[in-house]
Amino acid sequence: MFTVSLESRPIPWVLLALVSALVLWVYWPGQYGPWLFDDRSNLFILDSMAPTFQDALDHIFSNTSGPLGRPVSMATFVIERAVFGADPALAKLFNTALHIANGLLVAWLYLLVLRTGNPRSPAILAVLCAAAWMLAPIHVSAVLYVVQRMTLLAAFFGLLFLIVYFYWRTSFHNTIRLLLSSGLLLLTFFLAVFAKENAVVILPIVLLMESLCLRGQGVLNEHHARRLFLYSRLSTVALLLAASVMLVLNWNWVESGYAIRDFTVSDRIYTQGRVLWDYLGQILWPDLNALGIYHDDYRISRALFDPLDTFWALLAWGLVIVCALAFCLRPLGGAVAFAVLWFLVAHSIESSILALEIYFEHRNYLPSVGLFLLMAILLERFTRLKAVLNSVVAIFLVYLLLVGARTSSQVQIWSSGPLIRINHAINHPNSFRANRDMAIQLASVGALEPALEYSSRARQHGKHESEGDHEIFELALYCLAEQTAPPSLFAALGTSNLQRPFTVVANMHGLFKTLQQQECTSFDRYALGDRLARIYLADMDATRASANMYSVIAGFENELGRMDKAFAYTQLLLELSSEHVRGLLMYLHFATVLGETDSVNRAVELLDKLQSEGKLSTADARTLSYYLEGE
Amino acid sequence: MLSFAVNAWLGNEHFLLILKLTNVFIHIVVGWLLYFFSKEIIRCSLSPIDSRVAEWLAFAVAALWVLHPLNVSTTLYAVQRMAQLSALFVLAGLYTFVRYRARWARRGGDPGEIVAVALWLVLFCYLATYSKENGILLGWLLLAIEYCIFKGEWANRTLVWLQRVVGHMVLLPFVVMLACYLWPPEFVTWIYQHREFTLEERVLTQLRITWGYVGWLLYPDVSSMSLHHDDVSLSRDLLSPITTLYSLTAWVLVMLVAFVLRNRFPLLLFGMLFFLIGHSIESGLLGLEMVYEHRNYLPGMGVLMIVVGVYYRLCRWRPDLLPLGLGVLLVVSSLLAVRVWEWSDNLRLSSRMVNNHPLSPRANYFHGFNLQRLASNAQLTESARIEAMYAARYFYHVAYELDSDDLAALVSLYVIDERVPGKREEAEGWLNQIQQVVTKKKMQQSDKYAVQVLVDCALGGACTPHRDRVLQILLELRQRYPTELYYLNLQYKAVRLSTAEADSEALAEFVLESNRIGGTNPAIYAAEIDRCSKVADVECMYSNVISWFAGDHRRRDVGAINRLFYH
Repeated sequence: MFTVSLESRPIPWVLLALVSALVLWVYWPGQYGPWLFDDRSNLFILDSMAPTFQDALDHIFSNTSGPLGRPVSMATFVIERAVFGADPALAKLFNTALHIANGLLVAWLYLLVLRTGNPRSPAILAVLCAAAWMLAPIHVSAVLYVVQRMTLLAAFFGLLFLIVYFYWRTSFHNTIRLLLSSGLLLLTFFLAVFAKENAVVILPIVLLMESLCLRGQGVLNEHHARRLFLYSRLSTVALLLAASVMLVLNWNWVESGYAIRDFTVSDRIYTQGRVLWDYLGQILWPDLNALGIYHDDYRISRALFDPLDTFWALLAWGLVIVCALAFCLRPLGGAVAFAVLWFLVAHSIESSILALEIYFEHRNYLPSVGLFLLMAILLERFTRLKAVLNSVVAIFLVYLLLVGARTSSQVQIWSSGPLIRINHAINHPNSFRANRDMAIQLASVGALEPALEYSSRARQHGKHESEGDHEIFELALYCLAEQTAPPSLFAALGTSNLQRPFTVVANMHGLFKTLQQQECTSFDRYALGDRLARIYLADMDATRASANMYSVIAGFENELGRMDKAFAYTQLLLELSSEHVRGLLMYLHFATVLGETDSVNRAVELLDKLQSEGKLSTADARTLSYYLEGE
Repeated sequence: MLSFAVNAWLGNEHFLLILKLTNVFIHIVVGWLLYFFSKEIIRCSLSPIDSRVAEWLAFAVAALWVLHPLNVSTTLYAVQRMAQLSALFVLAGLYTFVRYRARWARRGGDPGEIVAVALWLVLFCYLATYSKENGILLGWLLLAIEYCIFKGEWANRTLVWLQRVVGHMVLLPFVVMLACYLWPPEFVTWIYQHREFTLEERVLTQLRITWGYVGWLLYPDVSSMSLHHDDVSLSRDLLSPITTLYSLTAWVLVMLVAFVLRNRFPLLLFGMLFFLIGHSIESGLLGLEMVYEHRNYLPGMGVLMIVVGVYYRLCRWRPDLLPLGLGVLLVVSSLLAVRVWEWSDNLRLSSRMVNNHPLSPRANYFHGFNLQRLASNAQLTESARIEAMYAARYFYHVAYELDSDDLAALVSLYVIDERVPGKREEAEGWLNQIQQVVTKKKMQQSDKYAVQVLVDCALGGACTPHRDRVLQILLELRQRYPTELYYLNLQYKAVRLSTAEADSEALAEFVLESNRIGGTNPAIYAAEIDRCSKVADVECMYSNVISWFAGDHRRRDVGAINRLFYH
């Protein structure tokens, strides 16, 4: 009984195929989910993409979410949009397919790691641990969140990089193979980094892998093996030093990022100690109700003992690192240390000192590969005990079914826009974003009263939202619910902070977009325009808002057909930012319509200069050329 | 539940057939496992024994069990899949243990094997327990095997310490049960608020009933078998009836004999322990109903192993008794065929149940219920339908006469008499009686269902609308069981049915009350959402969706909630 040989060749591959099918089945309903959060800022810009190669290239290279522009990821979005149109379902299915492909790569990588230590390691363990990684519920918020394709692609090429490395390190005796694998290493590395910058962590990961886990094993020539082992250790230290020096040199840049945050560098470091433990729990045995995209309600650690958990969390991480380093000289200890350090190193960019938001589940996509690798390493060791393998596999299969069921329920929630918003609002009652989303959801179905209640709750938790921004948001809710806003709301608009009445451009933009898309028959758009004009245009003091704020208001006035006011707003905009390309083009447009020849000439002159400096995109240049042709 | 879901997915049209076929398949698989398990047990307990003889004896055990008519009410009772699967995994665990343990007894075990077996046992125990809670007994059964069969033997030596530790551990759960009997904790006592008997009465009655089970296993009298055994008399104390005392004495004596003979005939002690441990949850302290045949599905194997062991001894003494085994199997098979035939038709089954248990209110009620269903069959002639209806009324009345507090019978009589023009006054009388019964009766599941039928009939338009009286009944039940969502939901339904345009605030109050009670209550949310959608009250719909989702911590209704947004 129970003597089926799990080491026979087809079983792991059949299991891998079955798991892939299971993952597809579990994620399938997810395609019916909506666009979410950052999808808007990153992907809605593609709505304006013209069907030309040049415009497509512009969009591929114009993303500003990271320092390298993430063109590899953008290329997939652009191709998808050009071929299939704007369909979240298709984008989510593509992400699901990519996730499955990543799962297959993880299985391959695990097998390579296990077989380097012990060539007789059963392939089924690598498959099972990769399956557990694929089915982890925490990945739902990477897979079904379209814009996180960037994370998925970075992981895809990162994993390929690590796999190619295994072939590279055994190619020293064969020049062609060495050249080929070196080329592939470079290619995959750059593709990973240009998919999302934080894929750069694969560099320390590969060095740690060699120096702690592989230790030159599997390299045919002993001399090469020793040198590889030595160089990997030296390179690890050198990389650590280089990173530290860069950090010291760029400290001001790091600190400047915190200007827009309500926490400091130290707050973030303290908090991340707790966050990382939280991630760990959510990866291995998640609390489904706490999962989601909004974690802006996560309590910030203000000091080492505030809250006390901060101290324990950091102490525990310290102990983990000390243990990892203490045991890393032994073969098993080294492998275990590598797997643990993978998790930490892969988090080192997004979960350390950079002024990013505190908590996002998708940040665990690549780091969690290390945790399941740890599981694979320990299981491989454990199953060296005679006869244990079959029982371990059986237990693991039951575990996979249970985890799959949990992930399936999470996907169910992510498959419906209203449900995901309700889920967030219930399970993250102190989240500004969750309450805002719920307010929008309720207003959009006409339930204004509860929408205003959620909006007010959001206000309580949104420290950065000014009174004016809140009023603008509430006006949008009235419009969404197709109800008349009370005159008092109009009268109060912008009276609370005269120096800077509105700060959040997204709110203003949201209101105008709602007015554009909804009928809002009872909404007096001209009254709103007049009210804003009284605030901003009475004394033409440009310091009352940001350039982008003037840009969106100018767009609104343009919609209303009031070119003089639109022109005035662009004047304010250019006063703040004289080389604002979009502002200049708007200025040119309004000046042309109003027949302001001097202004037209000035704008053309500035735009010509910017074009010669290469600061105009193809689309901008094309717009400019229309005007010049008109002249 | 997963297996039921798979069945439902596989066959919508032939759901019932697939359900029962799956159960039969599981029954056969359990039979095979029993064969393997008993082969090992017989080898170890009747040694020295020729391995072919052991195989034949194991086959006899498995065949007797698979063909035993007592197991029909597990195999053909769809929901008892839970008991079947639990037994399957328990048996898989026992077989794994015995197979390796026999080897360890001869030549010891290496750590890998021991760890592997431990892992298998953990897995099987988990699967068994999540099929049905009494799967947790696997651990105790393992101890019984170790104590009775292997007796601390390891690598051809006897480990005295192991023998002693296991001996104490086998007894420990009995001691815990005794302590729970003397000082009953909350988890034991709470269910007795729904029962018409006390903890003491249940334990005393079970002493007799377990002998009854043994009797059925040894002498499968199909004329006494039934789905319902609510006509069993309760043991009020040790002497009332006197058979309670005899039963207790008999159990003590049998266990003493088995203990004394444990070395000469270990199968006796093992079989009895297997039977008693297997019954320890459902026939022990918990306030479950008194008798169910399916409770013997696993424990019965122990008794049948003893039977085969005795048969083996007899055959060694008198080899001419050998054909007796075949004869027994033939008789058992015939009885099985008879019982399966009875179970192949609802009306036939209920009719047999009334025949076998004429004093069972439930058997009479269910026969009446089936006849009432027959009366609504449009393919029958008018006179046949009237005849069926009168027959149904007769059996309801018998059920009522046997138990005047039987709400199911009372409500059915009310519903029938309401529809017969000349019987309105009698219907009124039944309603009066219902009103009295609900003030005092400890409500059981069947009573709850009866109240729902009453609400549907009295307020749904089929009977004379007795709005105030039905609401009064529900109010009474709500006061008696303030934390039971079932009555709250019925009250909600009654309010909605009784008024053309129910006050939305009053209805919303029910949702608030449900939230206050806590727990998941999808019925009331779904009903409110439906009502709100009919009046296009989006705010109300969302409020209920949010409450529903917030209460569904285990995410059992996510699919249902999700579907709301697609309609």
